Amino acid sequence: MSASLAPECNEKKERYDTCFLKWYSEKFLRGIASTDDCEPLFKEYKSCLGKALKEQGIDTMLEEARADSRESDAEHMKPS
Amino acid sequence: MVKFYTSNHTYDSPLPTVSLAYFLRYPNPYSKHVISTDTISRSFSADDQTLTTVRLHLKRSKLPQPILKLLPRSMTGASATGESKSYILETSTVDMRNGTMATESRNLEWVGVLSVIERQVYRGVRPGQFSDPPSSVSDFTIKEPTATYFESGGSTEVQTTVTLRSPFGEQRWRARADRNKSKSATAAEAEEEAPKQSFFKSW
Repeated sequence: MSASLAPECNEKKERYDTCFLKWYSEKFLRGIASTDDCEPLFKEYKSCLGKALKEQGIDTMLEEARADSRESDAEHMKPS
Repeated sequence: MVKFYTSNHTYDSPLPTVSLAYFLRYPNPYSKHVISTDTISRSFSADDQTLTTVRLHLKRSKLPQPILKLLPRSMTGASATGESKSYILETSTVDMRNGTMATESRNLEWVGVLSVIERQVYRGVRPGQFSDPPSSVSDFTIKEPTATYFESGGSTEVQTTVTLRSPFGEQRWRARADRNKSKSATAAEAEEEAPKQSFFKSW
């Protein structure tokens, strides 16, 4: 399993990833998924990761990237 | 100034296998430079049977020597040997009803200098299914299989498009084009200043 950029979240990430891969291969890929079974575990992992993203200033970088991609997509992906 | 590269490939595995491999591709012994992979958001729609995932990869990269000499280390975040880390944002949407997966990866830093966007469209081909549209209706009704994307024997077609864009390069290019147009000394001087200013603005 891949590591998290925040080592303190590794345990929560692994628990979530394990759950996700099971749900993904056994339910989603077979087209029989009705809910995202791993959402509670994802919330735990996300709240841990969110802190790290904020501390390292990655959250602002992500926001900028999203704003920038909307802008450049509008410019370059328009039908010519 | 945008440059595109496109390539096509077919995997001898059904779409579910390929999409699972896509999510599991790190860590692997051939990509030791990938330090971490985190899922930032994920949304599942039961109505459409689609799953959208945003992940953040942290990769180790080696900066070219000229860049290291040109810029202070505080700016590049590189170590003395030129080791630097860069973030890649990856967005993917898997649509099991239509048997497709669309992905997009882009760099988050240095986008003012060079923005690289890799987009991929994966299309599952069921066993016995035409990869191209059938030439006539009768072909279609005979060959249309009842097999699902999950069955072995299926394959997956993928089209990759890489888009390279350099806002910094565009400014330099425009400045040079303008310079060539107006040969007067005063105009040339003014253009000479322009790229230098925007060089720092774009970081």
